Amino acid sequence: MKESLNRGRTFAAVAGILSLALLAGGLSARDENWRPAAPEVETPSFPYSGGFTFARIRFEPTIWGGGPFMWGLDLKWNHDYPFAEENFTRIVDEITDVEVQTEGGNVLELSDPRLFEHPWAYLCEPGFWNPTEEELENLRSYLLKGGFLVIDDFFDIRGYPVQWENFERQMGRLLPGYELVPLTVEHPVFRSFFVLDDINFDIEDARFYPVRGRIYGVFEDNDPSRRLMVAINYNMDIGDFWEWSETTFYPVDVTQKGFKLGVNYLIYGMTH
Amino acid sequence: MVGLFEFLFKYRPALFEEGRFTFVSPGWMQVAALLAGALLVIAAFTYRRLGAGTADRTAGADRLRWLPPVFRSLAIGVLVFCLLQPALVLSTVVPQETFVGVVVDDSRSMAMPDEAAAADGTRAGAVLEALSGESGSMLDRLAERFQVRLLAFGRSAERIESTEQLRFGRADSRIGEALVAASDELAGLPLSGLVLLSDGADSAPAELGDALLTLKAAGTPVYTVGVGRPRLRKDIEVSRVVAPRRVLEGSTVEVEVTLSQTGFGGRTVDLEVEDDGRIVNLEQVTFPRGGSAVTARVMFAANDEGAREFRFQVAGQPDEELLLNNERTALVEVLKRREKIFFFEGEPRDESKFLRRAVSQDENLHVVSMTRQAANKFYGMNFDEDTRRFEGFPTRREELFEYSGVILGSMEASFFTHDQMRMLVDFASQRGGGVLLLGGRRAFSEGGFAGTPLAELSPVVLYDRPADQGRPELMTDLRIDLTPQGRGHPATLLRDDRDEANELWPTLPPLSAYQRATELKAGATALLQAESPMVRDPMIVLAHHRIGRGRAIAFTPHDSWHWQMSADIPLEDQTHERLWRQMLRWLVSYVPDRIEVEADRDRFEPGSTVTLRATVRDEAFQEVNRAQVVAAIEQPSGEEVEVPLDWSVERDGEFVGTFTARESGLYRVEVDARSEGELLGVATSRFAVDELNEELFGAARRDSVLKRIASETGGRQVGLGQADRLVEDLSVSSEGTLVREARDLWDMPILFLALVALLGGEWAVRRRLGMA
Repeated sequence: MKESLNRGRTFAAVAGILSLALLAGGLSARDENWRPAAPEVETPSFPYSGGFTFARIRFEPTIWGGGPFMWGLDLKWNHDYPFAEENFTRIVDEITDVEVQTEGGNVLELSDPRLFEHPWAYLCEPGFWNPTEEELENLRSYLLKGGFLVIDDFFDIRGYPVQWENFERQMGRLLPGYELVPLTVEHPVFRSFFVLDDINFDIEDARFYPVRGRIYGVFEDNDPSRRLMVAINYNMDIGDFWEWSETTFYPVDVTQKGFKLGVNYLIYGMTH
Repeated sequence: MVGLFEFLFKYRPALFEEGRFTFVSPGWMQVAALLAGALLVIAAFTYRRLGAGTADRTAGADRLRWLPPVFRSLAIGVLVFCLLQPALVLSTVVPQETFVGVVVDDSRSMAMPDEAAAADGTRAGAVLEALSGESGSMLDRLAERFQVRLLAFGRSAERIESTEQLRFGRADSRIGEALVAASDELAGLPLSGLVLLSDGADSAPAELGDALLTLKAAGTPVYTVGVGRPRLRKDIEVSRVVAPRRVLEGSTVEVEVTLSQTGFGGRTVDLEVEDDGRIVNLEQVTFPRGGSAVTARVMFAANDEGAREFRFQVAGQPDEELLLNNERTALVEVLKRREKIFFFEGEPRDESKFLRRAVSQDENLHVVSMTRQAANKFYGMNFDEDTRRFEGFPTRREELFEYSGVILGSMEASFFTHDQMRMLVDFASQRGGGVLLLGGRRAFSEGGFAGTPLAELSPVVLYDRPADQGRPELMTDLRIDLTPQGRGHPATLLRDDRDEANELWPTLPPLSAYQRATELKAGATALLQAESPMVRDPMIVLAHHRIGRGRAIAFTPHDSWHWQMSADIPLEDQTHERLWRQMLRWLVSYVPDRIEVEADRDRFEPGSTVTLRATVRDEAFQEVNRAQVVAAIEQPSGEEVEVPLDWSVERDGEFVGTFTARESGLYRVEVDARSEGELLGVATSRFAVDELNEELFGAARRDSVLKRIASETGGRQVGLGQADRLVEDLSVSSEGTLVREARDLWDMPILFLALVALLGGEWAVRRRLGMA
């Protein structure tokens, strides 16, 4: 019995190894750029209104699956959609003079020419971002022409910067030679509407990852004295603050700061 | 006509004008009148009797019966008139007791080969032959009656002893100054008049009128003798160049060049623009077949800082008579300085961001912006140590007037106080600044401008729009194109090649606008327009008009930033940047500074008197009369001369001084204005001194000038071969030492002809009536 058990275990082990080997072989035989196709989902579209319409970048993530997000799918780009933009644009409408679409925002792929009608855009979960060359070309043109991009919501456990490494790689493909410059509180983006004396968004709570957030920037002509083209919230998720602002999920002060930072990004992007 | 008159009446009309008519033998008058009356009675009686005895009367014969006595009576009248010895009493000069000044044009234009009367074909040759030729020369004929003084002139007149001293090589010919100098030279002598031999080419900068008034006051009639043809057969001339005196570095300079021609109608020529020997533009100009002149608008970039002499020239044509008038130069000061523009925006929006971004690399434009982010919350950008800081919109004139231009974004009129709106209008009308009104949901009519002082700024007609109408409707898909006035305008020239630039506009991505601007104000000009299915008439996109000293421009679209961002626009495309750079440079072009100095022209002949005019204003652009103004003039040799400028009294804030420029080359003027020891400001300017050859322009004989000189001084214009007539005219002049002289008129051919006609007529009628 024990022998048969052993034989059975041996068989299972061999079968398992063979299966893994086959799977590994099958994976390695695929195209380097292969990614699992995310399902096509419909999103509302707002026509050009002459004012500000929130633009969220949709991309095909390297991994996707089920999750607590829109349509019960974790497509990565859809984190906090659509509540984040709905709440954010309402706040913008409430406190600023910006003419804003408050019903929600547009979801656009980087290859969509309509992206160029939205000079301010938002992208989340870049840890799972692997854009095509065409998408990179478009985004590069968008940024160098004067577009402003906010990148939000990606985390790494200390010592394992997997998401950062992917993001850094993709940014290297997007803007070769451009540096990701850590921003300090003195940068004008933190004074463009609200004066933020503190840009620490970490929450000391056991429910959340013990991470240290940091804001990075990519500058026009790689010159930190010039226009900030891309603002990067690493180990931070202000979209989440916007999404959950109607609940007590996050502390009020951090939620407020999340809105303030978002408004500052918007005003900076519309004035610089 | 004059010849016929002279044949019939024995003398020229001029003598009848000068003289007084009289009858030399008044004692005969009664006898002659009695005799004439008696003859008339006899004649009437004879005809009456003759008529009664005629058997075959007809109606026609009845009608003619009265004619013979009338003819006979008139014939007797003519005879009586002759018997009364009519005469013309003239004041004529006493031979050799009066003087005549013969003033000969000794300038280069007299070497023009367009005088068929001369053996060598030149004007100079014709003058020499007329003056001292072998057969009946003018000088000899004049010398028979007058003491003749010969003078030659270029810039001024000088005595010469003989025509051999004439060189016809002087660079200048200032007729007015020369005539006054000649009159002065002969002052104190009994002068019958001056004889001017010239082609009428006057290169004097001053109006001729002043000199003519002086001559008139001195009682010196000038008799003008024109040389040359009144029209050249084949010539092209750069007759006028209108260029700005100053432009910002990197700007498009727009220059109007007028080309005149004779004999080249329909021909296409190349008009070259040279900057320091380098061709910066080449424009093809076709002369109209019917007309003679054509004005070309030439545009080129002024990229090099400093005083630039731009040369405009047309290559000489193979059969052209005069080549020296085929070019002109214009001095343009290319300034490297930052023009300050204040951009006041009512809301954060992409249009203002991209506009500022488009000009951010332009070193000559400094756009300071103030954006309303929320109610009463403003965000200022680009303020530096040279600009006063303020919150919102300036409340003091000094704060606003330090800028050359103002851009007003999407900001409703109700935001401003009445004083602020008035100040913005004054910024254009009094300070002379440029105001650019941008389209937006809170601008123009949609921003409640109608009925406020801001409406004055708008080049488009505004309408009342109640504030409770809510957000205005956005008109999308506006395809923008040039109006005829916009073609080739420096603000809309988005490509170096004009045709390419004109074709570009309709291909640009469509824009949108909130403004339903379809009607221009009187005096405004539209440069761009668009069609929209939402409005019936073309929508005005870009228009401008003058407001006092300044200018206001309207640009109605809300999102020109698509011309930068659109997916259809390549990354490297510079259309959007160029549009706004040009637009803002246009906005601040010709905007006056607080302190300014200008010479009365940009180019002078050596030895000319240069008049410097400075304008002095305070920070609020109010003219200052109590100031100490000194001009430091740096001459081409490097030597500096200080010229104090005094208040002109004619205009507030205007200070004037003069300086004689002897050296050739480029001069730099720096004016320093102080009030009670405190420096108000400095200003600089430049001018050039060079041989200008002004008289070679309009080189054909200028009869209008010669005629004007003669008529305004009481002289007359005579032809080159009319020495006898000239002597006669001068002899009956009312100037000089005079004696009365009666000239018979009884032997005028007209009287003889009249007599023959009357007697012949009588005979013919009598024959018809069967009485002969």
